[in-house]
Amino acid sequence: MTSVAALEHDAQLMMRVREGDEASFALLLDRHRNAVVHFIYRMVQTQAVAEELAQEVFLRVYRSRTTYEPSAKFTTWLYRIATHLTLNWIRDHRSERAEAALPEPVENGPAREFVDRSSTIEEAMVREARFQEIRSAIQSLPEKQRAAVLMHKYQELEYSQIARALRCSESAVKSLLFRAYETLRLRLAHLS
Amino acid sequence: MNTTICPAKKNPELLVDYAAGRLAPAERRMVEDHAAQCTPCQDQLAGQVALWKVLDQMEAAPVSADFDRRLFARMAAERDASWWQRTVRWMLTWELPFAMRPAAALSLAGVLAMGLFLYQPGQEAGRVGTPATVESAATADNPDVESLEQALEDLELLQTASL
Repeated sequence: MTSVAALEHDAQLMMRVREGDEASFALLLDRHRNAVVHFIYRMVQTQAVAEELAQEVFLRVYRSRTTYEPSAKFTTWLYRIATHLTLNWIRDHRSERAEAALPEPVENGPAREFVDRSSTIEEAMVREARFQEIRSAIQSLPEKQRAAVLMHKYQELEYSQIARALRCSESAVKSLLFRAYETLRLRLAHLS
Repeated sequence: MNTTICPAKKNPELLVDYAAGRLAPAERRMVEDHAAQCTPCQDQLAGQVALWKVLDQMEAAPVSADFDRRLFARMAAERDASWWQRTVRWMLTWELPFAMRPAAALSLAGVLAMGLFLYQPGQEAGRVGTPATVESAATADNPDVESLEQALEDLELLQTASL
């Protein structure tokens, strides 16, 4: 998890971006680019769309630089923008997504990173099948539950940060997470 | 048995925080001690820990090598954009339902086109709308018409890009 010192450094960097320091923006980008893309990818399940939306997230951060105030953690603000854009995209493309329910085939997308690289082809296929099941289970969650799980599990955000990103209360976040994890426990029990 | 905490019944977030490794050591021991004597909590705790390990297996694909280059190119294009283009781009980021954005954009373009048609800078007062005025408005040298045409083309491109 990001240390307190690193979080303060994010706000300091953003204050320098506000003053016109683009090198600080590049540092922020380098620090958070992968996490934002991965978060959005796990929501939309398409790498190209995830990168496009992630670019829009950072563009909005850059456009807002002159009015930025460190009233909240930088990551809270960042994931609020990312969640907002991603949920809008999902809403706007709901009918297309219903038609294209299958995830991207591996051969048409960037290479997947497996936990164990020294595997036979059969083991790789079994592992890919497990990934598909996990992705499918997460994908089947209602959007807010999905976003809460991804921010909590993979971005390691605190309840208060997730609440601000989803524009709801902390108790609502805890409820979302509990229901989501309960669903996932049932659906993925055979994989554990 | 400690009945103050009982994740299965009272504090479900403790299950989640336990599996996520976010509990302080003392809290962690409290949950474990309770689970040792509460079967529902023991089952749910084991299930949540197992789920966490399953979710750990899901890796994401690497980000494209040219992600930063493309982003910086977009930032540079925005800095060099005319005020027309910035206005159109700002409008496309409105919090409008997707279906309404083309209609809103075309409405704005229509209002701007009407304004440009009625207002002809450099002409004598009272001659607005005359054939000579319309003719001069159509010349390629009129920067206002050029800017409007460019903005309308950009609008189409931006709408296409937003799809």
